[in-house]
Amino acid sequence: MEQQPTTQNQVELTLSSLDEVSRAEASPFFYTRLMAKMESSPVSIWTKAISFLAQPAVSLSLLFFFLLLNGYLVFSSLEENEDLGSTQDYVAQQISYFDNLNP
Amino acid sequence: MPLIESTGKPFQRSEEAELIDLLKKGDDGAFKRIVESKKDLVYNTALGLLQNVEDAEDIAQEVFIKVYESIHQFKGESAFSTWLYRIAVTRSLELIRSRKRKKRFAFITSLLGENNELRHDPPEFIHPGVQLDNKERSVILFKSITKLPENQRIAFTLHKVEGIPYQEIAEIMSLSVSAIESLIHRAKANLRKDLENYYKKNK
Repeated sequence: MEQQPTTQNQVELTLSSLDEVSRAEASPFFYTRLMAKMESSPVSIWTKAISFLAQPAVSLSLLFFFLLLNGYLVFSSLEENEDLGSTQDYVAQQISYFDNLNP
Repeated sequence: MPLIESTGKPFQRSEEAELIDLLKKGDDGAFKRIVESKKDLVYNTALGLLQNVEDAEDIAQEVFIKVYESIHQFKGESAFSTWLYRIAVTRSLELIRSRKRKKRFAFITSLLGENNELRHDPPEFIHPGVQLDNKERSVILFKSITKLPENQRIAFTLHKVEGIPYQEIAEIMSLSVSAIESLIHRAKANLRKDLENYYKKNK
């Protein structure tokens, strides 16, 4: 009488079921279909632009550039405000001076 | 693994390099020869990972479109086949992930009472290259492979289905050889556990 394989045997046999697998072959019309797909969906300039921008090196460089630009704009606007503040102080001083001259 | 042209004629590495150079210059004939010689490699890799004939053909086509568009990015630092495997694996994983997201979304919307019906589990996958005696067992194994973590699934499938040595899998996955050994070891352990449960339930 034939003995039933144990669970362990079944597992090992199943694990080795792909040991002699041969390579699956693509359809003989693969190239024709590929050409049809390529002709039906030409790559637009936008797709190219997006794939260029999506590269990590490009996107990180752009991010760094915009951060630098942002920092520069913030600091330059702070300096302008300081200049404006000193001009306002000067005008206020002049007015009070003339007010004191003409009681 | 020998590089075989569709005609069955061996495809030399020097000839491959020449074809790549021609393709970089926009030679469509070179592209056709590359596709004909590498289509089975790409298709079988995608099929092993996706376990679906239509999806594998779609992904294989996308891989060659990517090759056509990005051949200038191929610097020859790795073998051309390694580059192809890498694209095929990446594209296949993108599809697997998007399918998982859609499945999760369909589950949530079905709970909320919308009309998105849950997709049934995919049908049993029979790899066309499996020997007749092993067909039934391979169906069970392929189902079990889908439960593996992503990296274990890739390493195990590339090694078992496409017969790629550890060294090349390491290059494809940008990992060390010992990391690949460990991934495959853990994949086998997980598969053993899952298969044991399966056979205990189906005694």
